[in-house]
Amino acid sequence: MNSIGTLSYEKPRFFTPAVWVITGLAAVGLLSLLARFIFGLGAVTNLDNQYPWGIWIAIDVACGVALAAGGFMTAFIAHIVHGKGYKSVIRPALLTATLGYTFVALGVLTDLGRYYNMWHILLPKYWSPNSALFEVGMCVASYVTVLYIEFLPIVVDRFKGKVNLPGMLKTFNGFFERLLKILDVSLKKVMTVFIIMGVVLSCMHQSSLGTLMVLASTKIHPLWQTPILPLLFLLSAFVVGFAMVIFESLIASKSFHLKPEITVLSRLARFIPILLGVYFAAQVIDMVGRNTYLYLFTGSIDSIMYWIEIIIGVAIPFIIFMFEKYRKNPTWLFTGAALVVLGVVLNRLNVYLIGYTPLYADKPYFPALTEIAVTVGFISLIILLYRFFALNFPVIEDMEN
Amino acid sequence: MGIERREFLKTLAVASGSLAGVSSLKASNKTELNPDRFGVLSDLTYCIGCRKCEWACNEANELPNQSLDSFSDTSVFENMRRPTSEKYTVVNSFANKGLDGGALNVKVQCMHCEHPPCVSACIVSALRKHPDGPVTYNASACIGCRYCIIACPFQIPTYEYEKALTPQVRKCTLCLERTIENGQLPACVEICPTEAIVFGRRKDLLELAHERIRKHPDKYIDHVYGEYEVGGTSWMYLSNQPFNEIGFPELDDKSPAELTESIQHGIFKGFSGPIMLFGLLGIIMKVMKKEEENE
Amino acid sequence: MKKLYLLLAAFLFSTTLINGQLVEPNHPKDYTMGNPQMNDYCRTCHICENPTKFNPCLEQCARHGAQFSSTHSFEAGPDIVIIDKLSKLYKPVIFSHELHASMSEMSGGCTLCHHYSEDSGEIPACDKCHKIKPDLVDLNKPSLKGSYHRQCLGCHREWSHENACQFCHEEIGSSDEVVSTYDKTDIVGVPHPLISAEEKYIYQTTYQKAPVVTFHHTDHVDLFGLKCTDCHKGDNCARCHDTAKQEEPKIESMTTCCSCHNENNCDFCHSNQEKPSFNHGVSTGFTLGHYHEDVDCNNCHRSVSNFVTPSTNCTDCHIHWDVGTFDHSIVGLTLNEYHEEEDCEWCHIDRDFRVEPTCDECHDDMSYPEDLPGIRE
Repeated sequence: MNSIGTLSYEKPRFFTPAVWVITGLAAVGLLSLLARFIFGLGAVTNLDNQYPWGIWIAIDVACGVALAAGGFMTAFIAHIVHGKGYKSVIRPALLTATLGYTFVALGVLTDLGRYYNMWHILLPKYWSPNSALFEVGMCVASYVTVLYIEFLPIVVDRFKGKVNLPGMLKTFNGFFERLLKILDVSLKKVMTVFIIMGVVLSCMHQSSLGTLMVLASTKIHPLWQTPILPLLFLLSAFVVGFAMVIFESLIASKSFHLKPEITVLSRLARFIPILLGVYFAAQVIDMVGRNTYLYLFTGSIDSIMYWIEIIIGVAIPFIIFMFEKYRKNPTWLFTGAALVVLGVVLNRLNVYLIGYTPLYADKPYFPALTEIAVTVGFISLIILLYRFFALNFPVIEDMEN
Repeated sequence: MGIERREFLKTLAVASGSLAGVSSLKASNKTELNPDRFGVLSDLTYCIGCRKCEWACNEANELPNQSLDSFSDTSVFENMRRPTSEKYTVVNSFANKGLDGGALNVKVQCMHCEHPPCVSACIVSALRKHPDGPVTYNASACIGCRYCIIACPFQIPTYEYEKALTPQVRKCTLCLERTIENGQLPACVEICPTEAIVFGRRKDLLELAHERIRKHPDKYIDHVYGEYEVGGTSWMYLSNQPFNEIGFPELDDKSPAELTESIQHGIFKGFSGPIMLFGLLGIIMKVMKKEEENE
Repeated sequence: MKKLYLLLAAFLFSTTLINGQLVEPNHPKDYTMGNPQMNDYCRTCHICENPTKFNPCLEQCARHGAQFSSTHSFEAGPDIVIIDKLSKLYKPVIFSHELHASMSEMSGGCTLCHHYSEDSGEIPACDKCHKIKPDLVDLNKPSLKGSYHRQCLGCHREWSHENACQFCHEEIGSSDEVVSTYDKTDIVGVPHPLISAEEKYIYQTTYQKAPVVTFHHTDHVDLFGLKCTDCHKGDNCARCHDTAKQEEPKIESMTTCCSCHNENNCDFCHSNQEKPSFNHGVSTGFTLGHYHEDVDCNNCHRSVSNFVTPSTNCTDCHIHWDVGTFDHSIVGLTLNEYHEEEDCEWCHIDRDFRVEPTCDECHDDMSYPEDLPGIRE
């Protein structure tokens, strides 16, 4: 590891006032989660037979998967295309992806009524290959495994040559050292397969999350109801993968009092307008093909939401990232990335909740407080865990000096 | 991260081999429908809104029930009702423009689609299409994801949200146990005083429906709802009023499942898509690595 | 070539001849020879598109009385029928057949319910065809339960706007409270009460020149001898019994009136003020004297629906009037023994009884009415 950081750099402590607040939110979330498992979905959510999916699916799962796309996008750029100079963002992105997917899995588990049956998807007699959800499930399960394997080297790096178990366990120190050494060597050999597999699995389920709602096409507003929804989901995942890396790296730098990695990030940012352009072009072509542009000016909530999604998530960031001047400026870089992230979040919410109109709904869906608490709690936990790993494991290069 | 060409190929073979196991299962999941499969024809012009079908359904499915005469209460018609986890079928009432001053009553329950989106949606095959018509549910397989409710074009499956441990998806079973296994009529059909709902072979029912339209073109609108909707349904309706005015969704002749399944199968046919992507990425990786070394 | 044309002509001619006999003589009259196209009416009986005499492809038990030949009066039917073949959840139905039968007189008669009879005219029991167990093959034929309910509810629902099962049969094991709200003791086993109507109805119409139409109901019934169903065609029970509407029974005035008054001008019915009831003298110029006042219209006019102005020549109707057959005292003059045996023409010149008789033929110094051939009473 080459050290760029200043000699005077000192790792911040885990707890700061903001972290305490986040810990509080996480605690409230966990309490709500407990309530969900004791009293059931009906007690803590506003879900009903018209709206069977709420924010736990729309945000925790759909957005969670999209925003964790940074992991496979950086893996693709750095390992597969062998792009130079991306090294410093690989591990943070991997950490985000690992945490993100872990909580996607937890989110799913929370939402499932019979969570204890979740292992059924692994049992061939229950397999249902027609189901897009089955594919999502299989891919997420496999990808979480792949991510853990990809994450292992970080753990190995952390403990290699430093195993020092206290007291009685001292005798095992040698054994663990040898184990870590074997792991280190063998992981390096097979890692390529897992990296490629990670990218393939990601492409598969990122798109299938779109296929998921194609099946409900009769209930989705025409602006989002398209057979190319899987493609749009995949393209937007590509975009948000980069945006998320920028977004989270800048926050981390700020939080850990580090110099922002402008060089790497602005290099990543170059791809965003290209991908946004492709994403937008696909939407326009589809819209013209299906004549759905007619719905753009109806003034309904759906059309307004579509405009917001496109202006915030596509148009403005496209302009920002077009100019090198802005790409080199941390504030603009952050703004642009945040807008892309927001745009994709809006898109997932639009597809899964706002553009979804059940046939006989007598009242619109709005999440219950406990529902929001669980989602906020999960996000808080991700932040806390990120902070923990960043502080205790070799994730951010600049901190390891 | 050094990796030999031989090893690379080996891992590729292993990966594709493990995935082939999944692909071999692809073809087996679509139910072959029995040409003599059952269905029900509901002639709305005969329905008197007595709601006895609701009572009989509750009895047959061991759902919470009230006394028989309490179902004469027509005040429930003031609001449009939908099936719930404790009521597989409900009757709604609409103003009848055909008869002077009368009501047109519509019994709502699972339509038992021919190509059911809920079955296509189900992640663990808990919902299945029985070759004889019914769409069945196996609670012990269900993981409770509720994707079936999202997928249903008729918004029929319901869920026991109030149960913390063993919630189930609930919907009409077409009285599978009574009909196919014991040769009886579905409970609602059996009790219907005017025989507004008729149980029989789907093809016979279609014939009957078209015969009625042919004989009374002044009475019926020329549309058998469920003949073609979402690829056809087991439960079909005849009416003297346009179906979109009496709470029925206007649907395509194609099941939405056809599109998603063709997307799924198109991309994942024999897992060729993912394997090709895997191979392509491998090649890119190889080429780029060489370039890097050459520099 | 000529031969061919001849053959063709002969063939065409013969087919038209055969065509004329294609239809059974007792085929329903609505069949129009000029239009052999199948219409909805035809389809109530024929299931195929091209029925022939030899293959009429008739519907089994068609409705609309197509296969009904019974002619007995409704009084000949049973008073009460107890329907108990199906009771499972509900007690038997006590059906007041007589009441319903007499009501049906207003609308289609027996065929309103009994859509089928044997060729002998016998009406079979419902369950002869409609079995208790549903027919899974002939799905169009309702089972006994379906048949009864469709039959009864078709009308009951229209007028009562409810579907309470207890109206006809009580639930087995139910409390009596519900049942008592439907007390039927007054209708079981009685015929339909006589229907009363106003003597006249005065309508304000949209015809501006003369908006008032006076309809003398009593005249039409008593004087002109019209039956209820002549005007109240296809009226259903709900017309009178609709609990929600409480409307007078209505007829389609113009079409119904014009079906008889087809040659009259507007003024015949329309006026600016109320019209008096029918007066034979005013309307026809032939004032009915006390001899004709009480005579049935039909005696002079051929039929109620087709009033033909009869000859005003008395002997055109009274062809049997002659010496010995005519009791002259009926006109208030008893002939004395000298005149009793004389021919009518002696006094009534040319047998024209409308003009005053004359004595000139025999007596030079006598004249009518100063001198009488008998005693005036």
